[in-house]
Amino acid sequence: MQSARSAEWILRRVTAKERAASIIGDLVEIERQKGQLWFWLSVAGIVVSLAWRRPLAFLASFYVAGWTLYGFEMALRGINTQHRIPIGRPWAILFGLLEFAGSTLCAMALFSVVRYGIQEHITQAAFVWAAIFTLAIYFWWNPLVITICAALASGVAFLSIRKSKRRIESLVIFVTVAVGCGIRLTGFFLCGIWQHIESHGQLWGSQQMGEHIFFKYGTFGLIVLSFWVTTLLWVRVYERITLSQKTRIAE
Amino acid sequence: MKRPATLGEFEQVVLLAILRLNEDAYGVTIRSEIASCTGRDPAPGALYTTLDRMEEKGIVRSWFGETTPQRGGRAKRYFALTKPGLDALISAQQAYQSLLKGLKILGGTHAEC
Repeated sequence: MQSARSAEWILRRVTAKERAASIIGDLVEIERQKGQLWFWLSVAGIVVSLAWRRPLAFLASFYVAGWTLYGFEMALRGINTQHRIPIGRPWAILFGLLEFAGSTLCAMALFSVVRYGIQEHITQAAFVWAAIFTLAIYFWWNPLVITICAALASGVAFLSIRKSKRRIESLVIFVTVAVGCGIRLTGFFLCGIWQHIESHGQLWGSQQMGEHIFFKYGTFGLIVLSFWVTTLLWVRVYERITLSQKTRIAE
Repeated sequence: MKRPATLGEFEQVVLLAILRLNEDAYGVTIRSEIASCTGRDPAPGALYTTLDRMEEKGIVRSWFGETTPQRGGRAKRYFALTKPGLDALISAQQAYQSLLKGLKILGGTHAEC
């Protein structure tokens, strides 16, 4: 009984409370014939089967979030870029937000494809928005591309508000990206404050960062945490909405 | 008209087992029905993942029964096919039947073309 309770606690980390209880109930029924070893091997197998997508989705999208942000930064402000953004605070804020939104969209599109599959409409919608933002960031200086992006964005937004299901998916994307950007920006802002407290100025290069190990790993942890909150928000909002829709359909 | 969802081989096996069990389809019985009919003992991980996935796709629906002392006071989670699930299964089985027509591999039952 104790082992069943422990196994149920473990399963509750990867699935809903009632589902975990029913699965353990099933295993308890069969355990009498098959034994304890079979029981624990089955629990391990179920945990892996139910949860492997979660860490993979998080790691892959975190990696993409970092690389896309770096890529956008280089395209807009890099030393070798031919089309550097105009100088001035409003431009810096506008393009900064564009970069964060684009990188969050790219990351969440990949997160969604690993977690839910490419056939899910929310994944497809996230990919379309990520493509529009990426095009707009890389070709911000080209009026023709920007016009096409604006037309595409308007078209996608129009199609999204026609059906209630698409409306909800768009709302999930919009809310998650807005809140996710806010959280990630807050994370970076806190890192900046910490940096000034730690060194009374900005730290440059790996050597300086190496001298402040606590700050280096603390910063990384803060960025991971802010990204994790974004993915958690995406999962919670999306799954709650789709679950309530399915319940309505079943009724 | 919306096309029925495509089903994998194991999904079809699970759906047929649920249909055979009628009102008594839950994890343990589905597993033993598959084992007795096919000789394959499905891994619990594969079975529950498949059931969850099919529920997400709207192919099956599930509900919780009453708690029983044999299961440590845990409820059974029963499964049944939905209308789209049944359509998808019929469509998949019809595809198999069409492919079998003209072949004599099942003792001539499907010999007519």
